[in-house]
Amino acid sequence: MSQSLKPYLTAVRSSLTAAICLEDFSSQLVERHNRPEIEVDNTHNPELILNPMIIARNENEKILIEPSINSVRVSIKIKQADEIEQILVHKFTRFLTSRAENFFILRRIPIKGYDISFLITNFHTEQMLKDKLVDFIIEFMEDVDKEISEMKLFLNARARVIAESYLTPFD
Amino acid sequence: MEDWRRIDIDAYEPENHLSKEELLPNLPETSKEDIEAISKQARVYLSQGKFIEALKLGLSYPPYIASEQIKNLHTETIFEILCSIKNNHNLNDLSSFVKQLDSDEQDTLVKYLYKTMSTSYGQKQGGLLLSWYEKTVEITGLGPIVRFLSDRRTV
Repeated sequence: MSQSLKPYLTAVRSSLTAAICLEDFSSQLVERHNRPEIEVDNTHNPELILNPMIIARNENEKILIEPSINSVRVSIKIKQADEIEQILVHKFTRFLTSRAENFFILRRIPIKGYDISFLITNFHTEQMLKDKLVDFIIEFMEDVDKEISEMKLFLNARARVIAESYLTPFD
Repeated sequence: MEDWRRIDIDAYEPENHLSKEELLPNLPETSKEDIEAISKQARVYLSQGKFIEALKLGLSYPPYIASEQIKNLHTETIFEILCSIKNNHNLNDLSSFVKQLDSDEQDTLVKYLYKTMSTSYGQKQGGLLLSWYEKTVEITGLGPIVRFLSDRRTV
């Protein structure tokens, strides 16, 4: 594990553990509604939103955690060093978000400026263990870097083979 | 006729909910001169090698009620102190610095660590801030993080 990845992940872990502390909360504006307060326009109930936190490893790799009384939104910006990685990250996150219903906590559209967003509500924490949710996000962050760099190597290797076989007739 | 379904009817009953202004804590406002004086004094301490005094000074008078510009000014001062401590000591000494702070100062330190991580100059030094953060949370536990989340005295 590289030098600054470990403190980054421990910081994310402790922040998430502190932020995922949710309770059932009915809407104060609309009767018989129960909605994730972080997702709705909260100009009339600013007390339900807590201070957002940003944890950054560098400019290209950061995580935004926006907590509220009954929901937490976690947005991750995945490392993208060059154009190939940008394409790969885009395809990868699109693959995941289009299957969002299988992931429960995945948000269909990421927040602007970030690559992938999760929305954890009190109903998720009632069904699933909080520690496992935190573990899942940490594991996702670890694996996605690995996956992207693996895909990049694979793509480059494949491009080389294709270029070679394409150019053999002109040899 | 205008689209009456889109009228925000809750806005006509302001007494039913809190506004952003009412959430602000009732504290005296910090002026720009105070912050500049602190930053000057902190630099003097740093040049004399009194690192812990500089850190304590910076964390004792955070501008809770002030304009964004003044808050950012103080954030830069704190960032400078943190950088200079990190550059003059090795990684394991940071714990002893955190131990010398009292619990209010530790809370403020965590607030400033989050704040600096959201700025562009802080993100360039992500590793430095993360090692500060790691050492702080090792000692304090999750308490300051929860207080950062719920505290309306933002820095």
